[in-house]
Amino acid sequence: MGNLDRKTLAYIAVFGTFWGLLEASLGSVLHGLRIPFSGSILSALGLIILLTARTLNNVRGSSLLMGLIAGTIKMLGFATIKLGPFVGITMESLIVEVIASGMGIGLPGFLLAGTLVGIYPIVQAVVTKSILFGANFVPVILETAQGFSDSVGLALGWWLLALYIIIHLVFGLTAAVAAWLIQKRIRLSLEGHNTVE
Amino acid sequence: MAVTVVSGWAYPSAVRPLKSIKFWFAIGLLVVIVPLFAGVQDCSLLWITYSSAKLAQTSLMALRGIVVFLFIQVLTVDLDSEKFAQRLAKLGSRNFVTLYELSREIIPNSRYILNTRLKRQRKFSIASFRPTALLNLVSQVFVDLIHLAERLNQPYQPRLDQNPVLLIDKIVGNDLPAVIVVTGEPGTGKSTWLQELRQELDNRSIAVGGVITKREYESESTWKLVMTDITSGERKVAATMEPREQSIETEHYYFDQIALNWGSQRLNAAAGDWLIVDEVGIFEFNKQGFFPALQQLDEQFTGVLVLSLRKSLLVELNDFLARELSHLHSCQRYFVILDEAD
Repeated sequence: MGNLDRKTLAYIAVFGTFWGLLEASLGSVLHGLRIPFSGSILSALGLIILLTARTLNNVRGSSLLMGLIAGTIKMLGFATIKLGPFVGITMESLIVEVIASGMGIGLPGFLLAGTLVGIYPIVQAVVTKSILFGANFVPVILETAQGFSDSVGLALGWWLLALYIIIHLVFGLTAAVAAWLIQKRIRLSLEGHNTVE
Repeated sequence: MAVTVVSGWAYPSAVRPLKSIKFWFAIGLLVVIVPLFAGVQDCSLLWITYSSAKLAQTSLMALRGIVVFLFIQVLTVDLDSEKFAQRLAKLGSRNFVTLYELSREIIPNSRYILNTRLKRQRKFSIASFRPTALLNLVSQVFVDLIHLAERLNQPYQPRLDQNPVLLIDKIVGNDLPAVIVVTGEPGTGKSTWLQELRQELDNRSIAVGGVITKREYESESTWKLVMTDITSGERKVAATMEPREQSIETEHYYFDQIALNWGSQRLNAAAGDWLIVDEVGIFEFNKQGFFPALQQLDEQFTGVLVLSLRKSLLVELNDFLARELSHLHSCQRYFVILDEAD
């Protein structure tokens, strides 16, 4: 990631700032209203911004820098530093960076990014909770799911866990498809077909 | 240590995140739900059976969770976003420093784009939540962002020579009125350059007025901003890093409202063919600071107006002139960019 040209810097700054602003403003509203899966909603919006910006200016390293900017802008809204949201935003941008650099920008890349970004909040929650509560956290939760299934029947505990993962995946994949459609609309609009307005 | 006061109770700020409902949800899951369903159910309370071994295990896990949580908060409580950004910058990316500065300045533009698009969408109905309508809205916002990025990417032409002698030669032969925008990253010597320009104008007996603002260091890490009226040499402290009476707080400074009004009056009173306004910025864009003087100039100015501002504010300046000062906006505009070769 050498010195980037002026156009790339402008794109990163604009889209990164917008993402950070959205995280800070909409994030406070969603968390304030205690809306379930608010983290997934925000990461889906972030993914749309990341993928669209990357297709408009496909420069190696730009997605990661955009995440660092968005994460830092989001910090402005907190009295003290909260590392969780910053790590989440940065990891999301790192996932897109690795996929875009490795696979290029196409529908398969979008869908893979959607899948990984979708399930990433679960991975982060598992890692964070394991740091906080100890390495036994995951075995204890799995044991509880098994116990719940045995008590209620129908393997309900496992179904609840599966549903939790599926909902996250749906958020990620929906965002990826939306980003794909949006970047096509934007391209048409910029080429002079006035579909956006 | 930072202390938070709520309803008369004072507690260290590091403890505040313990109010997080998500955290207590996880604690509740561990000490209430897990013992009910995991392990051997060997105890009961009000006919509800639970595992005493699991309760003991998860209680210890919960206690560990609280301790680790607080430990992390204590480690990060004094870290604000500025310090955090500085530490990130130290990791080695020069790009990050440039981007962070730029981002801070374009927050108002981004907010404006979002608000404008949402206002147009205000007629909320079932139709406005259709997937196509939502995709259109997001696409419109992104197109606005692309236009903003393109404007940031402008080459800012025509450029003038950084040498004041050559610059004056060039301008004197051209049509007036004109606006010269002097810019560069913080610390590139804008105010020093303006003093050199003023000196050269004096040498040629060209009347010049206005105000120049310079840092005066009180120690290695603290300074104040001192405003000087070019015509009379009179000086006022415009801002300090410590709070003062009737001061307006910004990110780094406490600005003296009286001094800002004085500066605006000096600009109004300045009689010269050239007028220098140093450090135009967010105050003016929000109709404060030197805005009244600029508004008056917009009606009558026929000379050369020299405005200095931070590079990251160039886009905002153009929008500001177009929005508020239509006459000055229509004048021929030149750029002097101090941190780039001519």
